[in-house]
Amino acid sequence: MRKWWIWGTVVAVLVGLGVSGAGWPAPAPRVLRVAEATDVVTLDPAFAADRPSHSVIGHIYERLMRYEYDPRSGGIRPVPELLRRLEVSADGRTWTFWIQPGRVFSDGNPVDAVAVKYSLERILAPAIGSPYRPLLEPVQRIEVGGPDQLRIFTREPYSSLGENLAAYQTAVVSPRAAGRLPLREFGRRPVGSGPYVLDEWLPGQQVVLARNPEFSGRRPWADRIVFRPIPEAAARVVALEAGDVDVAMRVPAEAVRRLEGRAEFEVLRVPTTFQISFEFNHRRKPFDDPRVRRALNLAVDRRAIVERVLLGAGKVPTGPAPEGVTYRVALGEYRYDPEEARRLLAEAGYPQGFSTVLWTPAARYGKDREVAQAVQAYLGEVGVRAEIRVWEWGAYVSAIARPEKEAGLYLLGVSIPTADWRFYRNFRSDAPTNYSGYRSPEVDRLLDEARATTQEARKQELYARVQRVLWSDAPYLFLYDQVLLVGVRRGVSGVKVLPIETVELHAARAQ
Amino acid sequence: MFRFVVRRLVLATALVCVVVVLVFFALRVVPGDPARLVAGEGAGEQEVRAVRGAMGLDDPLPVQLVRFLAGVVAGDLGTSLRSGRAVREEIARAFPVSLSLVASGMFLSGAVGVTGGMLAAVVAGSRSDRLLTGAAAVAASVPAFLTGTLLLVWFAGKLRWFPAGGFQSVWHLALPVATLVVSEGAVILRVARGAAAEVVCSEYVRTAVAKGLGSVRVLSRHVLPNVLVPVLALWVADFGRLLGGAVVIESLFALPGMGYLAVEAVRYRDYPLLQGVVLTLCASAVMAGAVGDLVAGLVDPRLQRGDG
Amino acid sequence: MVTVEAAVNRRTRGGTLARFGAGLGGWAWGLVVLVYLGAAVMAPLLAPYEQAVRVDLRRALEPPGPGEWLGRDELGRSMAARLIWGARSTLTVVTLGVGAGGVVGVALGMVSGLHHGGRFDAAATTLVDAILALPRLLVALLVVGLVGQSTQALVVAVGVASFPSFARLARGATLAVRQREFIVAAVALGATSVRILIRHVLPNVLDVLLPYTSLSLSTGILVVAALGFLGLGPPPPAPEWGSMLSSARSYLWEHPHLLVVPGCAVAVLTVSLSLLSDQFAGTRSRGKAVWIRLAKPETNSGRRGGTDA
Repeated sequence: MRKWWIWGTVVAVLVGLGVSGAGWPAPAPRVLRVAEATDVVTLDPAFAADRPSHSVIGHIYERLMRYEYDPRSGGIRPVPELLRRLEVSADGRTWTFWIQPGRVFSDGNPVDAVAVKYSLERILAPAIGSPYRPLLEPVQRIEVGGPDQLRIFTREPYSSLGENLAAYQTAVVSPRAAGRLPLREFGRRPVGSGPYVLDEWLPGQQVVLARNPEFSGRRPWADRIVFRPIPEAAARVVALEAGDVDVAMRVPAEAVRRLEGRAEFEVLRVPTTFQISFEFNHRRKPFDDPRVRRALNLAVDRRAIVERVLLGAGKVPTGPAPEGVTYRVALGEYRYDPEEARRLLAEAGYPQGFSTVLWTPAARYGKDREVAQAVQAYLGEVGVRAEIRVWEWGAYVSAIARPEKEAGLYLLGVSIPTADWRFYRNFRSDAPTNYSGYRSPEVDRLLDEARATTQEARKQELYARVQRVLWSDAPYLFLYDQVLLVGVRRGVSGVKVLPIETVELHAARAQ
Repeated sequence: MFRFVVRRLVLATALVCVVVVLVFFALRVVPGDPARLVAGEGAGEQEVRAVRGAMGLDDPLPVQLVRFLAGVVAGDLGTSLRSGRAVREEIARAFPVSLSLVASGMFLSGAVGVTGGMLAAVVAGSRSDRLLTGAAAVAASVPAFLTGTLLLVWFAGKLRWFPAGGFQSVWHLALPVATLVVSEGAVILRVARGAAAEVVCSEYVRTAVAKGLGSVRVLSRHVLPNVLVPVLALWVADFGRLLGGAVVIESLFALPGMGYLAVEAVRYRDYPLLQGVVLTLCASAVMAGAVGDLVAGLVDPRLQRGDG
Repeated sequence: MVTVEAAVNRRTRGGTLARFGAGLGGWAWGLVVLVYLGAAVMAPLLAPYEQAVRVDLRRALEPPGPGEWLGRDELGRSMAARLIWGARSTLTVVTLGVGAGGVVGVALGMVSGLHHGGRFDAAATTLVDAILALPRLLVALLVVGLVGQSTQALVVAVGVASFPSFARLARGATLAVRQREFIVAAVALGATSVRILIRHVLPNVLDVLLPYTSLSLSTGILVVAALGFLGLGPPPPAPEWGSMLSSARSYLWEHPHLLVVPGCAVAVLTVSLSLLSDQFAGTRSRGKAVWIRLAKPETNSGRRGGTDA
């Protein structure tokens, strides 16, 4: 009998040893380690949807433009990366780009106008099937004018082309590499011109980037960067505290006090472009009445929710676009005024309030169910009896797309950083992604005009008006702007976290 | 015995196939669209439809089923809708992780549980027995994430004896296995105690004692086989369940195993990956069950003689 | 001294004291269980439902203190009230789910075990093993797809999650006792399977099943906690121990009372049930020892046990 136990333990240990393979890796001299909440999904820019993929793409590839965040003004703006000069024709339909000469991909091929044309056409090609085709939808054709000159022709004037070319999806890929590999393969064996190349990718364990010897830009400090997926928030914090990683993304608000209490760590609080709201279902009464919508916006104490439920991992919104969205303006908070809310409801014909159904996903936005219950309570105080229905995310996404959905209001977040794309998707009547059914001819007109205008000042004015209309028309119950909390080891400096929730280590160094 | 095992394996293959086909259809009934989930926010509606077509999801169901089954026969379990990697590759990577966790964990749990259980049975009714039983009940009702988090924060965070997650060496398994042993070992202990207590009062054991055999001998030769048979049944059941069910532990300790893979596959409605995972897990559990029965037969030869 | 001999002697000693357990201490645990049941039934008398659901963000996460002796949760609701009202839904769902799963599983397992080696056994065991391996999340999602998002769905999901382990365990326990003399004798005497199972097998496998059953309740609560995000069960803000446990996860360090309160409730219930079931088993086995001696006098002399091991 005893032999069984010995044998069994030996087998168990052997199995454990055998599958562990590499053993404990020795640390390289200049390594930066980042803990993310999820694994990288794909490194093919045309398909990358999640933040960790975007972060790595930002290190492996270069784009014509990239987003620069100015914490003082709270603005994000596209600045040139590969771009050297840009000229837009008077009618706004011809864009001429000159790119930096002399850049090379990591496979040695030149980064020239042909490569840029290839990369952009890749997003448009139906054969490739990129879901991000709408980014470049109005593009009619792309012409190469010289080794580093490129001309893009659009069907109508499309002034947002510039800012869209800072999106990660437009990263410039090596035509040789992308053309040679089957489509799905390229996402795992990317070739770009950025400061790093993909060294190793163990799915579920780590993505390791090594220095790109062909990179001609400013040399970053780190020889290697490691991205590790650690799904559990508490475990990410422990990994940071134990010294296993240098940067921990998405630190939960509850752990902030513990981290800040220790001198070796600091917590970055980054306002994000992620705004969470309860979208109203405009196809159901009484949500087609702006008075009702405004009333419900006044009925909720957002400050209390941000401080007590989110524990500071949020901000009260001052407009339909949070900090970090292009062309955004701050319009002032919706105050908490249940009296006024009840008065407005009575005026709209609901002195006793009404009943409705409230939908929320679960485990999608941190504390989504708690926020939903808090809002339910606030609505109850002004007479709106909301019954909550909790959804699993996969089913939720399909359910909210249905026009005949039962929900009166449903929780959803938007994080797109560019004004045109963001407002168009959500608020333009008849946009297929406008799930709420909101229609405003004025907003439609303003958006169309802003898209066509090439004069910056006019564009700013138009978008400001769009935001003012949206803020007072209240198509949503605007709730909070998410604040991203990132834990950093104090010896590490230069870690840049953008409001689009990606991390950039180009200028980072560790003591 | 041999005939029984063969019969089991044949039945197993048939039943696993049935289960997988049922799951195939059931998945497509459940609401959720993989194309939309994979494309993410910002994707255009038309493009999502195109992605769905590219995923082969617009084909009629029987066509999809035949494609899948033909693939299985040829050894190709399809391509993950989300990652684009071959399902076989994803599973080949995740399975050893889960296997090492569950194998080590269950062996230790079994050792701890059976020993503890038998000892408790011998002193049944006394204060130490009540203490042990109470402790086991508490250990079994403490959620795994609590045990795991406490271990993680103490031994990885504060004391730094173990790494805080990942799967790169044996040391990385220490804390996850410990978490497993606390919950599983407690259950096995209670069951073993019940089985041992039940047999200690049988005249079979009383006879052995009356013959003057020492405690250890009686325990190991007369009590243990009786304990092992039900414990083995539970052990095998938990082994099969945990292979794909240790999600909390895998997620807490960043172990990219089958449980976590399954959850991600469900979340993104990654049908091919989910089908492949279900196939692998069912086949493994059934095989583990057959092996368990074999071992039980060896432990207690009375069981070898099966009725027709 | 810890020896098997001592244990055996202690067990078979007759007498009133031994018959009813070591004093009444063991049965006291039953009172604890009754308290839980009482709380569940008498919830409206103990705390108004309003207290369990009224949100008060200014008092969110308040630790236990005078006034609220169990503290307040992340939305400022009374933990005590939520605990009492949560007992209803949690205990109902888990008892029904685990109960149904247990009954089905044990029946299946016992029949399998009795006909060990036959076709039914092979088929049932393989099916049970296959269902066991299905990821719980997937099964729950399928249940939701079929039954909808309701409390019934939750009960079904919990039942499906519990029955395979019961089946396997019952089968193993049946195998262990099926070669016992009295069963072989009963078979020889021509008793039907059902009669054998109920009269002879069941009493003996209870010793193994009872401890597992008392633990499976807490497992059931944890299953409910894990499935919370599928929208199963009573919709928020209805209190339920499982969802209280899962939302308490993030507050573990700063506000442990969110986890400790429902966690202790579950732990105490589990411990009470475990010790209670032991008490029950202990009484029975003392009685049984006498019964064996009385029932089969002819097998007592000269027997060396029934195995070659």
